[in-house]
Amino acid sequence: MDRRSFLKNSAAASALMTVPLASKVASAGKKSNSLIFASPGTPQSLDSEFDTSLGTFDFISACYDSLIAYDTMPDPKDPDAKREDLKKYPDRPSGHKMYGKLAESWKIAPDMTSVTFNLRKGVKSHWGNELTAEDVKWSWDRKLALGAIGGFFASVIGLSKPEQIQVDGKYTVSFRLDKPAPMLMRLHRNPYNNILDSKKCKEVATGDDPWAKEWLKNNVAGYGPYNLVSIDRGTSAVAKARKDYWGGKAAIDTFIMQEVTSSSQRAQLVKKGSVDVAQFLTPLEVASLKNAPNVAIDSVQSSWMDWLHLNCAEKPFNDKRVRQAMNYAFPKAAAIKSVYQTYGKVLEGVMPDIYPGYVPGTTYNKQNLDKARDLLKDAGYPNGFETYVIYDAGQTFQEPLLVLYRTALEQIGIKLTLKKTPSASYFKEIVAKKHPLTFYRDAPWSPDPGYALNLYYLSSSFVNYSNYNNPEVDKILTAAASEGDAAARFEMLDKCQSIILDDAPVVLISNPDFSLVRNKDLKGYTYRTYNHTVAGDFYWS
Amino acid sequence: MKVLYLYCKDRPLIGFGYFFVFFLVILAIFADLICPWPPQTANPDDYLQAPSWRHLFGTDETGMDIFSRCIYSIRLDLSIAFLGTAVSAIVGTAIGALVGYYEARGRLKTVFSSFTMRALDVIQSFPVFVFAIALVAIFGQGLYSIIAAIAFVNMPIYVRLMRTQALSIRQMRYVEAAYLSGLSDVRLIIKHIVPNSMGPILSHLSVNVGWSVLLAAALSFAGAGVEAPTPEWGSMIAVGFKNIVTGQWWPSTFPGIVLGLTVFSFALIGASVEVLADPVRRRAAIAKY
Repeated sequence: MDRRSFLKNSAAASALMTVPLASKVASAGKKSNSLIFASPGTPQSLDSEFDTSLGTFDFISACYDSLIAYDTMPDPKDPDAKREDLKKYPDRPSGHKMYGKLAESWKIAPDMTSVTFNLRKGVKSHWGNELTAEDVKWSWDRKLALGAIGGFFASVIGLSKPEQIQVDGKYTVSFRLDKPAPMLMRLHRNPYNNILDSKKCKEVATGDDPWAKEWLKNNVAGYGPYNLVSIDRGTSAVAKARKDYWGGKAAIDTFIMQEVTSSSQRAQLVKKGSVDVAQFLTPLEVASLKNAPNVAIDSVQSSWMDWLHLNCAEKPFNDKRVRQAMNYAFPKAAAIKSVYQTYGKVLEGVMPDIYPGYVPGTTYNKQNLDKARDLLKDAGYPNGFETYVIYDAGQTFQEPLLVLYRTALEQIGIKLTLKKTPSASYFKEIVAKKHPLTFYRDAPWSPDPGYALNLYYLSSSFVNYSNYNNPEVDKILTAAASEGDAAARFEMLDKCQSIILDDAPVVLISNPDFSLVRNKDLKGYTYRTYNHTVAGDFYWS
Repeated sequence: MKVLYLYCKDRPLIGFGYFFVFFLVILAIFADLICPWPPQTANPDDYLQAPSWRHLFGTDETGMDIFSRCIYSIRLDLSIAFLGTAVSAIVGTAIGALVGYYEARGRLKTVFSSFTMRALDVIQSFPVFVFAIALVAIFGQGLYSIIAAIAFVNMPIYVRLMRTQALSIRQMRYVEAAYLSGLSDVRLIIKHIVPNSMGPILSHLSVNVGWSVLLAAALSFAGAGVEAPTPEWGSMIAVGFKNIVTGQWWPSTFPGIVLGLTVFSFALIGASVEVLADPVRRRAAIAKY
């Protein structure tokens, strides 16, 4: 970018950042063909290899593209929204309905040990470089070399060495694995696995930083519909639609992510029309905007799960009966009605119910304090016990849920102390895995039972915050990870879910909806299981 | 009591201050009899109910009764404020008396005095609220941490007040006489310096209690106070604050009003104590009776 265009873009960005927020009229974004998101945070880094901060993926998804993506379908609950089609399609290769983004076509081996992608020709990056097979290889080599978040994804599909990614031609690249990899296709649509412009990255790389880690924190080098204009952390991030995008210029010229940390402030801004989209509002705030003029609510079933991790390695939760009692005690229906304002439903199974291969459970759906008392008595706690839970001070929905739970537990003799933890140290406390109970909201981004169950219930998983350890579950998950036959794999994972449900390592609470409040003239919202919004989906009606 | 009655007769606002604090104390004592609902029991069927005969002040997002919680909060907020203020007054008075008495009595003792006063300067150079939050963060969240934080941030005021008084009383003839008669330093401080310096301390106590109520509430509002769902005005305001935007004004308004009136009442009492503790001003104030 030369000095002249930098100044021009900066001036445009400044004008767009200030004018709509000061404006009192609705549809400020529509008039200037911009899209203003009020988000809880701007990206701390633009390199998804290391950063998962709030706002990262909303912005990265605007600037980068993956090889493939799920087809979309109308959302069954929200007529204005679309969502990824996650249904099983046994007649299609790998069982998914997907379309090519940077890849034009692909061929998967029947035993799921390899896939060959034929790339689109003439796709230009933010820096004018043409997409080639070398870019795909370099993007995955980087994951293997850095061993950070991408290292995990590589391990999920059994990718361990650069030689397994082969450049077969200028526009042809293949992944050849040692074992069947059922997750092979699903992972390529994950926003963590977008493709980088290797020519630009190599150009800015240094001897100390051969993978351009430092540069990619503050710059983009990919093939997505938007290009970075500016990023001012804590304030805003701005991107502009590319004219030379392979899929045609995005419908909205400028995407502005404005940091507004308070959810009530975000709600007020979208209500006034000062911003076009407000995300991550509390259910009560969403409900309060139902009848507001000029705004519409998109609320769809999500992959989020709210639950309490029980520390299975320590007393009293090392006893399955106590864990089951804790599940029976939670007032789920009351929580859905009051705290979630019906923007969610009872979490019945041990993974998101929108995913293929989900096994619904009915065991703990309704509060049953008599059953909980009996279980506690059997476990040797007829008079209950004292324990505590840690929760995130920044997530305001957590405290009322725990207050409801505390009242319920009191009735079976359990005294629960609520320990509010500052957001800054909350995650540190979670990963320490030492507290008896921890509140957690999470979602496995790849819609697959094997992926979800491995994350949370495999004894060696970092994300197994419950210290859950069942050798039988470990054995099934390990075997399923390299089972090429889809039907056999799903059968194994069905069994696994039933075992985990009975073991109750977590207190199941809810599947909260993903809710987004937007200007009523803004259309195109599409839900994806990674629970982030893609700017390129939107258009003004 | 008669003096107080006569003083308040012409000053109804001051009378209101005394009445309100007395009323709060009565409510706190008989809270178990007065409150229609348990203060910490969630009732999701009644969440966010507007004020009504069933729930006088309405309910919060978990269905807890705001009226009952406001009343039970008196126990905790006043206990924190009284204990925090008492600890700061006792410790501050003791340090202030020692510093004031020993000041200008020998090189080493002057160093002790200077060191103490400069340390207080450092403490007071921090914004009180930020300092209190930092202390709670260090000691860990809990009731005793809040009391300790309130005591610590208030203490310098009492040290300064007492030091000033001690410096002046130390020069009095009767103190000199007591010293020359062989009274030990400790006995002299306890028998003569402290009792004769208490006027300003007492008048400051009442104002300080009100201020401590506010500080305790502010700590809870900022999330550094008591654990949920303990009834406490500050945490109730914090929990209800977000509901204002969604149209439910009552969860934070009622505890806010009670908190405001309490602080105001203690300030009024403080203003009257300042007059009543001074015999000359007291006589002048009720001269017409």
